[in-house]
Formats: sequence, structure tokens, C-alpha cells
Amino acid sequence: MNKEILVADTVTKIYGVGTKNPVTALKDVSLTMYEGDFICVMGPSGSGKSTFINNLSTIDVPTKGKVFINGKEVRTMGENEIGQFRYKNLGFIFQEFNLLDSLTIFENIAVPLTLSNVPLKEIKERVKAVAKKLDVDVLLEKYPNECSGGQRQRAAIARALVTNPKLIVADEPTGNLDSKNSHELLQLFKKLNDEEGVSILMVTHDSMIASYSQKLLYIKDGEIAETVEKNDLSQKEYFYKIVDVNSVESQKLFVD
Amino acid sequence: MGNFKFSMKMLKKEYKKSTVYTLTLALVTAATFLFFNIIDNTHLMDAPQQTAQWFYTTMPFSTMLSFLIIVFCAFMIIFANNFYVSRKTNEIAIMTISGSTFINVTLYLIYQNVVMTFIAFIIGLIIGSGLSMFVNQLIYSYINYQGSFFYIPMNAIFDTVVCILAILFAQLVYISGFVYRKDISYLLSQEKINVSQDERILKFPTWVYIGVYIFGIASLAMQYSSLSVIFSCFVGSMGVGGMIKYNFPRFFYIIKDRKWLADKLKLISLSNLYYSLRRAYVLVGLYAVSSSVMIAIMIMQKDNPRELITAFIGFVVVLLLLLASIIYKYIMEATTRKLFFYNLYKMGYTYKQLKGIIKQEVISFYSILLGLPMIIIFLSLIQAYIHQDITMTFIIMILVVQIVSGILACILTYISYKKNVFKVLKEGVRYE
Repeated sequence: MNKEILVADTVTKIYGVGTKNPVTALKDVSLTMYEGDFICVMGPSGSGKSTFINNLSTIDVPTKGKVFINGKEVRTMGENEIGQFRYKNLGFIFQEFNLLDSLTIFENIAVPLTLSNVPLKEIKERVKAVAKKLDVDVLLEKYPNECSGGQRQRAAIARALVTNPKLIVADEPTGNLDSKNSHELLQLFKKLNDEEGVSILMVTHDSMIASYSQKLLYIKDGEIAETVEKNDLSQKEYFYKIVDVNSVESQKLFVD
Repeated sequence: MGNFKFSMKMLKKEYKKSTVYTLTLALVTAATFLFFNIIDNTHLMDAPQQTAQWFYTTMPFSTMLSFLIIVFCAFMIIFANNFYVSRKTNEIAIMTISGSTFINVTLYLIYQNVVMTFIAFIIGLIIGSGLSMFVNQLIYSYINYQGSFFYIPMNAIFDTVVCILAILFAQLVYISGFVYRKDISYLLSQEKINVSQDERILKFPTWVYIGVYIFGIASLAMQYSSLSVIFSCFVGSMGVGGMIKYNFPRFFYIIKDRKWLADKLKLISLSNLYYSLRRAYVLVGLYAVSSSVMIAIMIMQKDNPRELITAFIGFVVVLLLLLASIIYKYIMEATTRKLFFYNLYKMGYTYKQLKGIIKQEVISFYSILLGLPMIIIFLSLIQAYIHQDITMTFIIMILVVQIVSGILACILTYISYKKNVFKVLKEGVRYE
């Protein structure tokens, strides 16, 4: 059995506590993620998908419940420890590219390495290598606003991968990529997952993209409404199951 | 909802932007009113007849100087207005997309401008009146004139009104031109644009700007006269704006590439510093030119008490106005950097490191702002000390005013910048 890397124990997130209209974004959600897992999160807009992965990956703090990383509860970790955990173990890819405007693409990709105190020469080598892999090597001296949406997305992915993270947290990573680039990215994720044991937690709206994962969590109204595991299914069979889960609500409309 | 009501509602909704802009306008109005008071003060006009020998021309230099400062104030208002409108491009684009006509959008902006200018005028007049009494007292005691300093000439109020109306008209022309010329996609992209295009008509090689700066400094060491100081200060500080816009990017790129790419604080703070300097290069250049030239004028007028004191007041006012504009611009820029710092936090930067980045950026910015003209100013003062017998007290007073005001502006900028950024870190950002 692989090692547990992330455990969410009855996590609840309420926004606007103490105000007139508090919003419960997550209700008692639990999940255990093991090393080498590839989990995909789907659900309608506003269902709490991003809140879910933000709370699991130390970006946000749950209102109730606990999150354990490598057996340690996040709330008991100091700020330095959390920061260190992020740049050493996590690779973030968000729906908004989140590149830093005043830094060139090269510098953007270099930031996590700079944070890890990697020497200058090694930073340059590693940035160039990952940029070539993601096909952004010709953009290294440009600023984010001089690049197209797809280029920026690829640069953000390069930044997430440059530290060789143990866990990739991706929120709509293919949102601005065309179909060819999306599948190339997912093949890269799958390769990292299969060959290097990198764990992946990904939010997507695209059932085809989700079919690259091993496990699907379908979130609705802040709760895990359904879980689908790939097990021995082929990618095609798994894809149809995912489509089914996603279309349940629409199918109900016709039954009623 | 009528256009006027809607524009007022939006003004209230964006109260932070509106308040800072109104306060900037109020300060400039106060300065304009203050110098009209100096020009229109009949007691001061009478002074030469009573004490005779201070004037050798029919138009006192202080009147001309006051007039120049008023023109400067008018430009400051237009500059602040341009910046304010440039921060509203998204709003204008959304109105245009929603079917508002050119007239509607122009009126929308004019309504907001008229209301803010009116409020600023009242506040400015109150501040200006207080300042005028203080300044009257200062001038009277400096030139040994016995008179009541509770004196506000009606003409000064009238002149200020005319001046503000003229500026409002200029704003009307600018706003309508801005709305007319810009298409929707341009407007939507403007608030996010970071890399400015090189729009120079004459594209000098970059070394020219350093050359101009060094020539200004070198000419101070050559033959000295009180008039040549003005020339040297003007030429030298003209190079500052160009150096910031065209020499610093390459310089920053090289030091980041060779050294600071591996420094977690400097990599970010230097990138942000470059961005902030580039956005404010006109103000930084203007600060260098105005402060050094005003000091040169004081040196030139050291034997004419009324001119000297007017120049000193002008120096302080111009310095404060420029610093207020720089703080205003910095605060506005900081509001666009919330997500930037939130992203750094997500990547693993701690609060302490983020504070360090802001501190490094702001301190470096003000060091450049003060440091570049300071070399010219310091040399001018030393030369004047050697050749013109200006007192050490005068030198110290000038340096204290310049440095202390700069440090205070630096602290204020740091506090408001940090407050803006850390608010988001504490509250978090919701994507859904």
C-alpha cells in the first residue's frame, strides 16, 4: 500500500462567517490521497471544486475539520514550514494563469527554484530544460502579457513542474489550451504519474481530460456526490462512466 | 437610472480611488490659491515702496515664479486626471459595450470630474487659506513688514476659480478625446498592460541620457555663476527620466541574470521596482528637474529676501505636490498587485518575505528618486557655498526638507502598499 500524502477529515469551509449571509462552500468532505494517485475533481460551476483543492493544498484553511499532509495537521504547521512544503513538494497550476506580470517567463519559471535556494547555474539549466519540454523556450525573455493564452498556460505548467514536485495541484489546467495541446499535457501528467510516481489532484470540466485519471470525485453543492474509480476499465469505458455521472442531472430533467 | 445618478453611484462605490484623487486635486488647488495670494497680496505690492531697494524690475521675480508654480499646478491636475481616467478604461469599455453613446460616456466622466473638482475646490480653499496666513506671516517677518497676516485678497479667490474652470475645460477636451479615440478592445486591455511601447519621435541611443546627466554634473564643476547653476541643474536632471526609462531596464536585466535570479527577495523586488519606475518615470524626472532648479533659483536669489522666501515656499510646495502625486500613483498601482502577492504566497513565500519584498522595492524606489537629483543638488550647494557665501544653515535646511519629505513619503507608501496587499492575503481570493 502506498503512503498517505494528503488526508482531509470532514472538512467544512464557510465563507463570510459572522456576516449576514455566510456561504457554505464545502460540507464535511473527507478524502485520503496516496502517493501515486491521480484524482480528478468535477462538478457544476460553484459546486466547491476550487475551494476543495485550495483547502487540501494549504492555500485556504478549513472552517471545520482537519487536513493532514504527510501525517501532520496543517494547522499545527508554522508559516515557514507550510511555505517550505509548498515550494518543495507542490506544483500549482491554476485556472487563471497566475504568472507574475513584472517578471519575464524565464524568471516566472525560476521562482520556485529560487525559493528552494538552488544555485544560479542550476536554475538556468533547469528552467531551460523544462521550457523546452513545454515548448516555451522561445518565449523566455518575454513578459506574460506579450504571450498568448496558451503560451501563458504552458509557462505556468513549466513553473509547476520545474521543481519536480511530488504532488501536482491543477485547477482547469487545459482551460486555455487547444485539444492537441490539452492531450499532450495530460499525456505528460500520465507519464509523470506512471513513471515517476507523482500524485496529481486536478479539477476539470472536460470529461475526456478527466478520463486520464484513476479516480473521479463528483462534487455537488459542496459535497462529494459520487466517486468513480477506473480500476481495470479502459480509458474509453472510464470516459463513458464519467460522461454518465456528469449528465445525471440533465437526464433527470427528461425523466421528470 | 439617469446618467448623473449612475455616475454618482459609481463614484461612491469606488470611494477609495475617488477620495485619493479628490485629495490630490484639493492639494493642488490649495497650492494654486496660495500662490495667487502671493501675486494678489496688495501689502506685498506696497512693500517695495515702503522699503524701496528690493526691486529693480517692474515685475517682481516672485510674481513670475508664483505664476510658473501655478502653471505647474495646472499641469499636475491634468496629469492626475489623465492617470485617473486611464484607471477607468474597463468601466468605459463596459459602458460602451452596454450601448452607451460617446456623449453618455463623456458626460458620465465629466459629472464625476465636476463633483470631485468642486469638493476639492472647497477643501483646497480652506487648506489654502490656512497656508496663506502661515506664509504671509513667514514672508512679513522675513522682509520686516508690519501687516495683518489674516488677509485673503478677493482677487486670489477669483483667479483660482478662473484657473480651475480653465483646467476643467481642458479636462473636458481630454476626456472627450480619450473616449472618442479608443476602441473597446484597447480600453479593455489597458489596465493590464505592463510593457509600454517606445513612442519616442527621436530615438537617441541609451548612452545619451547618461551623458546628459553626467554633463550636468560636470558643468557644475566648470566655470561657476549663479545663472550657470540653473542651467547645470536643468540639464543634469533632464537625463534622469530618460535614464530610468531607457537605461535601467538593461541594467536590471543584467544584474538579475548574473546574480539576483537566485535571490528570492531581490528577484521579485527588483522586477517590481523596474515596473514602478517605468510607470512613474515622468514624475521621477519632474521631481529631479523641479527640485534641483528650485534650489538653483534660491541660490540665485539669495540676496533678495522676498524672492528667496517665495522660492523657498515654492520649493516646499512643488516637492510636496510631486511626492503626493507619486504616493497617489503608487497606491493606485498597489491595488493592481493584490493577486500578484497572493500568487507569491501560494508558491511558498511567507508573510515576512513578502513584507521584505515590499520594503526593498519601496526603499529602492525612493533612494533612486532622491539619490539621482541629490548628486546634482549637493554639488550645486557646495559650489554656491564656495563661490557665493551661502550659509551652512541654508544648505542643511534645504537638504533636511528634501530628505525628510522623501523619507516620510517612503514610509507612507510602504504602509499603504503593505495594507493593500496583505488585506487580500488575510481574506483570500474566491475563484468560484
